[in-house]
Amino acid sequence: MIETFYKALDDYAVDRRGDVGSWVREEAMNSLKDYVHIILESKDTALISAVGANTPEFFEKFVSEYLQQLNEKIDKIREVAGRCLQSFFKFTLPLTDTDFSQRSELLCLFISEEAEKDAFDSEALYDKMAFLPWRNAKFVFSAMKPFFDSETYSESILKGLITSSGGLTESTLKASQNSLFEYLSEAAKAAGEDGTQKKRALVNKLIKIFTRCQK
Amino acid sequence: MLKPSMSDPSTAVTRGYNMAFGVLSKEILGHVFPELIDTVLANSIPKGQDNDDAESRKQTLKSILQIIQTFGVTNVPV
Repeated sequence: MIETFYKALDDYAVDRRGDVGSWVREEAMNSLKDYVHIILESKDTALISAVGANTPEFFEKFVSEYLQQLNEKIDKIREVAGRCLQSFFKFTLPLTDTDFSQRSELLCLFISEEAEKDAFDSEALYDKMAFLPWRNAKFVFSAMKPFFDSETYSESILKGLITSSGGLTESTLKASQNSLFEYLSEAAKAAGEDGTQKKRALVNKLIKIFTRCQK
Repeated sequence: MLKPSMSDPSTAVTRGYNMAFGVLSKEILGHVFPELIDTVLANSIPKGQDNDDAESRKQTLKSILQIIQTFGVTNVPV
C-alpha cells in the first residue's frame, strides 16, 4: 500500500495538457500524509512494525520524498508539499518518539514559532495551522540551503532543485539557480580537506542522480 | 465487475469507477475484498497504454485513503 503512494509520487507523466502527473503527485502527497497519520494514530504495534513506522529509515524516506516535491518547479506542488510537511511535523510526529536524521532541524524549519507568526500575518489560517509561503520559490530554496550538505536528504533536494533550475518559469528558475550557485561558490571557496570533500560529495550525488534518471 | 475501472477506453468510465470505489460502504467493501485492493493498487500507477488517464489515477489514490478510513487501517493489507 505505502509503496503505491511512493510510486505515485514518482508520476511524471506528460501529455498535450502538460505535466498531468503533477495532479497524481499532489493527491499522493495528501493521501500518504493522512495514511501515515492513521497508522501512527492506531497505536497498533503490529501494524506499525509491518510498515516499518518505528524505524528512522521510514521517516527519512517519507521526508526525503516530500523534500523533493518541495523543491519542484510547480508552485502548487511546492505549496502542497510544504503544507503536508508542516502538518506532518505538527500533528503526526508527536505520535511517535522515533528519532531520525536531522529531526530537530526539520522541526525548527517546519514548526518554528517565529515562522508561524510571520505566516499568521501573511497567510490565511487553514486546518488549525498557519502555513508558510511555500509558493514563494525564493523562500523555499533559501530555507532548503542548510540541508544541501545532509547525507540523507540532499539527494532528494538536489533532484527537485535541478528540475526547477532547468524549468522555464523565470522566478522559480532564478531562485533555484541562485540557491544552487551560492552553494556551489561556497563549496568552491571552502579550502583544505573539508572543501575538497564537500565538492567531491556534491559531484558524486549529481552523478548518482544523472545515472538514475538516464533513459 | 471491477474490470472497466482498469481497461475501459472511455476515461469517463475509469474515472467514475475509481471515484466510486472510495464511497462504498463497509459491507460492500467486505464483498469485494481483496480483489478491490488489487484493482485500486494497479489503477494508481501508469500502465504504459494510450488510454492512461492521470485524473483516474488521482481519483484512485483518493479512493484508497477513503477505503482505508471506511474499512479500518488494520483490515487493509499494508
